[in-house]
Amino acid sequence: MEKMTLNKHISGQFNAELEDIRNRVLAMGGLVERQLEQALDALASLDTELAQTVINGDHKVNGMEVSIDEECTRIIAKRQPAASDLRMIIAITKTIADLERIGDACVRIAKAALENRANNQQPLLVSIENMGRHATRMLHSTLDALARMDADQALELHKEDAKLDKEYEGIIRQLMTHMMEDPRSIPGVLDVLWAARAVERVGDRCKNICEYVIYYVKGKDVRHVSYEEMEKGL
Amino acid sequence: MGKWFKSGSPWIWMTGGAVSISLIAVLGLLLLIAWRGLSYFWPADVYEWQLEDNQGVKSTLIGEIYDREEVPTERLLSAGHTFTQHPGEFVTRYLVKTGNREFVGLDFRWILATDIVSRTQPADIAKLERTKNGNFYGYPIAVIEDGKRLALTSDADIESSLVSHIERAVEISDQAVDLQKSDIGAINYQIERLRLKQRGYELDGELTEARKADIKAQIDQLNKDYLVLEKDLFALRDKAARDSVVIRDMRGQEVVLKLDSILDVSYVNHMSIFQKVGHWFVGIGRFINDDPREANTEGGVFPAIFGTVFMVMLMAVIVTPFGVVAAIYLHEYAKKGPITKMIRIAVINLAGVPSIVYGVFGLGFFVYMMGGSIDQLFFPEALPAPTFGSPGVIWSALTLAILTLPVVIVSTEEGLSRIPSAVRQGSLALGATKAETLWRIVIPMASPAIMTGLILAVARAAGEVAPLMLVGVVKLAPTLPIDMNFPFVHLERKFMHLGFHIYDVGFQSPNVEAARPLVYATSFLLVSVIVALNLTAISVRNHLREKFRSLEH
Amino acid sequence: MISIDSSTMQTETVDLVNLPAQDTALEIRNLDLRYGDKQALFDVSMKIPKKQVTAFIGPSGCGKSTLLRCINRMNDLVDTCKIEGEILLHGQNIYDKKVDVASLRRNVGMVFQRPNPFPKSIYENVVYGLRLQGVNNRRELDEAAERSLRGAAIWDEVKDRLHDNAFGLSGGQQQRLVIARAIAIEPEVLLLDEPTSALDPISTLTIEELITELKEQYTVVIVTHNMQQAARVSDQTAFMYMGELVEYANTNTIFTTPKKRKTEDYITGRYG
Repeated sequence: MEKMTLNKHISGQFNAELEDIRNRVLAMGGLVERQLEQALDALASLDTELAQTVINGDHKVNGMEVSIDEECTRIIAKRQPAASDLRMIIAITKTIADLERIGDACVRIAKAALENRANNQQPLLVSIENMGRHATRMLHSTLDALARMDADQALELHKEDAKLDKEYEGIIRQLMTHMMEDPRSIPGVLDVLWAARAVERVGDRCKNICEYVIYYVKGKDVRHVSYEEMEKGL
Repeated sequence: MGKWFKSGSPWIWMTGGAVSISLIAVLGLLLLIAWRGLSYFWPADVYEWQLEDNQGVKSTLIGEIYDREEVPTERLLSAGHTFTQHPGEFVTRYLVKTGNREFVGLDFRWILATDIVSRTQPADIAKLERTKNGNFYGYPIAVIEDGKRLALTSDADIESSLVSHIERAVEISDQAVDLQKSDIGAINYQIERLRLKQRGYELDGELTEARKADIKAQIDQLNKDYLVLEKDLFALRDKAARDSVVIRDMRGQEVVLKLDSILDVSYVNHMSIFQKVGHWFVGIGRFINDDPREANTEGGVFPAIFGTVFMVMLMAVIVTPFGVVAAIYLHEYAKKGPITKMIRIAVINLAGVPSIVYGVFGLGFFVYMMGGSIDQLFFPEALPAPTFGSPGVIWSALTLAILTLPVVIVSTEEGLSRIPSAVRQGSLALGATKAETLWRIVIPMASPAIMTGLILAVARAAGEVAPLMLVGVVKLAPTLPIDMNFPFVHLERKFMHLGFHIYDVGFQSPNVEAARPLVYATSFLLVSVIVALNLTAISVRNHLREKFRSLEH
Repeated sequence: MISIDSSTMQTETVDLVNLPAQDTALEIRNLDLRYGDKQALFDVSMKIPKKQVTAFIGPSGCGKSTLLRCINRMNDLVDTCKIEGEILLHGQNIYDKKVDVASLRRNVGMVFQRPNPFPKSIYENVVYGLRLQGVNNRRELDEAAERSLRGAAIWDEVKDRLHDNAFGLSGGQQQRLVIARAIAIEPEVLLLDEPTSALDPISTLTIEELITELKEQYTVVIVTHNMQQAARVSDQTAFMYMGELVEYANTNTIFTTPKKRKTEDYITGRYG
């Protein structure tokens, strides 16, 4: 496969439509990224106001998903895209679904921040914050890979998710210890667990998006495939 | 003004004007020849004039007004004519057809209006159409039946008796002519064939005594038959000549005319308009159906119509396959190159060669070379009298076929090139060879174009006269190219042609005045024949077009 | 529970390079074609599988129709056309001197861009090929006419007016009639040269439907300008550009993940 620097379409309109939809996905990505950052901030500082802002901001993410989806449907109906265009549209529809889920995760984290106001679980939240920062970086890079359609970066990020999973396992162990030590703390710990779980899911979603980037660029479906096979294929 | 020019209206006016002028010219031509030709058959009134010329000599004149003109008095004076009193600047002069050729010398006479004392239109004047010497005008006085003068007193009785006697005589004469033409003609034809057969044996050295005797016996038998028929013929003729009519002519003398020379009698002056119309149609019918008489100046033109149509059809039969085959070779098989191009140019140029050149070529090549060779090979017994070696209808048809060949080739090629290649390829893709495709698809689809070529060819050939004078047309052909004698179609015979008939009647006639209306009538007929031939071909073509109308889209 | 049969979900992909001989309808080997000095095809090699639909796509003048016409030697009609290389049908090179072109064309039928019925009745159009072969038995012709008209999915529309002029049919009907005419002589391979380019969209769909039915019995090779059509009806797609075979693969592959940049550009509308 030659490098993915394609000529422009003969139809300028089609070009503009594709460009527009890409930009909107990136904008949505940016929005979701900010939501995640703010949710994590809110959790770290137990800032209820900020948490509320995040929760309120989710409907914007949802709205964008719906409008981009509509646009994709329209392009498929009107342009009957083929090959890379088709893969791009498919990748985008899937990406926005995952971005929306990330948005939901942000809401969950923000809710945890609200819940945690009463309970004093500060030390636990610190470890989540670390993991959260990691997840934020990962989301940022994923969006970067999406913007540049960089399959190599996507592949790297795909591996990154394993680290996040490890961190998650560490937090789970920590939380279990807490719960065993002090059964009274269980409700608060569970809230934290939910938040950690949400952050972990963000990583999984990023991994999915990376797979779509690879699908778009390479034309290979790399879901449910081992790394060796994936690398061999690329 | 400039705006008017830009709007394109002048262009439309100019083009429309050109069409109108052509249309008017064509219609004018048709109307002129139709009017002049068809009015000839209208029964004109017969007048009796009392004349008195400047010397005081009185005379009576009976006849039809044929023409009139205004003559300057000066000219008459300078020609030595004198007037008792000056008649003015112009004098009206009438051309009167007086008939009675054998008694007055000229059957047309000019009379000056100044000489006319009185003009009457007596109802009992009869116009007799005769087989010889033109019309006779006069007052029938009595009918003589078998030498006995019939006791008839009133004019009406005389008229009815005359009409019935003439009908009888005409019927008997017709029988005589039939007998002469068919039965006696057939016997003569057979005798001639037997003579040629004998001569053929003689040339081959196979004339045995037995054969000689056999042929002689046959000839004798035929001669015997002939004598019988001849007796019948003479009997019929005598029967027809039994009666006669006594008629008083314009000199006041009583003349006895045998009824066997009279074709028709008409009391023009007391005919009603319906009778005149009937008479008119009968006249046209006779013109179309009858043989010519009196050096073509009287009678009909049936042999000429027949000859024209027969020759044109023969030509069409020859030129169509020949031209189509040539066009197919040029368009389908010949390699596109300078030679093909040259041939095509030559073919087109062939159409521009003057037709008389074709006549010369036809005479030299067809008549003398081909005809001569055919005579030597197949008809040596008739030599030195030529069979095919003299001008004939087949050679005329062939000459005109060559003349019209370019038209057929060009329009057939045109038709072939208009057939969509998709259709040919469709046939080839089904496993047809090129020849099968041509035969089953291409030629049927090109048939309207072939018909167009044929129409143009027929139109050109039917109007062509000059070359025919060299290769087969005659002023008077004794027999038609088709008759009841084996082999029924006689392509070597000479034939009559309407175009040549016009020329002959108009320019070669001993009686110019009598012939003039015939020129128009014949012209009109020729145009009608060509139009009829064309319309037939066009309707066939339109039918084919409808069938193969895929070409349109 | 709905059980999903995997074979209806995705068509079996064929290995076009190592196609076994018994599955190969036609094999084109190193075909070069010149019109005079101008070379129109460059070293084309491909195997066309039996009883499948193979589509040739590419921009105008890329040589796809020329290649199609090579298969039944329609290019023989062009004087300046010179061909090198081989096309094998049953392992026999059709450009061999021994081959009778007419009988080759009976084996390899062709349908053209515009409907080209003959100026005859519907019936006579269909039996034209059989008459050429000398079949004149009325019953045999009737049977063949009905069979092929049914095969071309037009029988119900014309059965009551078989002896009417074929020009009375609509464009789409005419094209199906022409297909019926082609299958009346039972060819093995059916070549379709842009068969729907002169038809309206609905007629186009009927023809496309017909093509998918035809592959039950015939090997179909179709040239089309309409990429979606190639995507819809074909099993294999060959993309040609400037006389070269750029890419030849299963249609699904070509339309989702083409290997060559030129193919990608062409099918996504970036050609030029």
